Amino acid sequence: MSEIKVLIVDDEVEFAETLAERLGLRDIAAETVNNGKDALATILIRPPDVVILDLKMPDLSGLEVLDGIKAHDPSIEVIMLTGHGSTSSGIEGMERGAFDYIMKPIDLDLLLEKINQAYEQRNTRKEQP
Amino acid sequence: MNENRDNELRTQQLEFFGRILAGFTHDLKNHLAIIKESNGLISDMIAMGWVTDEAVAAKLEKIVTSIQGRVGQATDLANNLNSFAHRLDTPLSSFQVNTLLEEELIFLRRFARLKEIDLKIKLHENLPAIYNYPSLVQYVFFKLFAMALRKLKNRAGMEIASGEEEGCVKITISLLGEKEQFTTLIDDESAAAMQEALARMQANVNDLSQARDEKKIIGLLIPSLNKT
Repeated sequence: MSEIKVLIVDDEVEFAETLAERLGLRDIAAETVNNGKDALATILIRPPDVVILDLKMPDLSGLEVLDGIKAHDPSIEVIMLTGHGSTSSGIEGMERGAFDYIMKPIDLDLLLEKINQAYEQRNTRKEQP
Repeated sequence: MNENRDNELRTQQLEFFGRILAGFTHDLKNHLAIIKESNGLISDMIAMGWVTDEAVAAKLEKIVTSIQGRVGQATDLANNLNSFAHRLDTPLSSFQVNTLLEEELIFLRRFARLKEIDLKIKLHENLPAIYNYPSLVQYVFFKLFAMALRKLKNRAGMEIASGEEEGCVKITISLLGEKEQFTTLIDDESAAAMQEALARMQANVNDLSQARDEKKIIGLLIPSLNKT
């Protein structure tokens, strides 16, 4: 198992769990939660390296959760999941500190590439004084 | 009800329609995302040798590939439908005409296929982005395409091309093979709406056919409007 710890935040339970299982098969430890409040609670107890965050969720929006994560620990990298018609929200997410955004349905190889890049960036941030 | 109120109601209905459509396509993509990941997980399990019977593994691999292809096609359709539904969000914006044409032709190809029309598409690479009304460009193109299709006999041909001319983007629709005679480039029934759309876009529709040529060529010239 690699060192990368990923938290998947998506209200689509089946999607989150299946994606976590696929990441697990690629040696990435992935935990899932299905709403924004649980995501913010989880990062306090088990801080992940990278968060994969759905933009549209019923309680807190993805952008609100992003703000909460960055307020707690700016070095946690966030990859937003957006719809095809919501790229402007993905760009807004990046302006608010997200590492990148990716469209749903996802391209797993692309997501893996972004997770690795985000992990490297987190390590660089952590090393900085 | 006077004409202005009637138009306002139609516009609001269209906006409502766009929002509902955008919502449906968003949900559709969520379902597709789940199907794609579940299918991917089966593929992972085969790749990891969890299916020990080789014949079963081969059969499953074939099914997984088929599902993957269909999910890809359905995602493209949903993405195009979603972009289409969001088109009215910003009536005036910068856009690539080729992107609009590609998106619209995914739907229009079906109509050509039903008439067995040989449809060729030649989009000019590196066209500049223009600032105009993307939804009106799609509307006008759709009307011209539909009219051209009506005029063509079964198993004739059509060529859609894009290019650049005098700082404008030019879309041409060439009708090839057997066709009916044209009396006008724009159908009478939609002439008023088309003229209004063209006026707002500051665009023109012209007959670009050459006398010696058997082709009938309809040209749509779209300028980039000033942002002020």
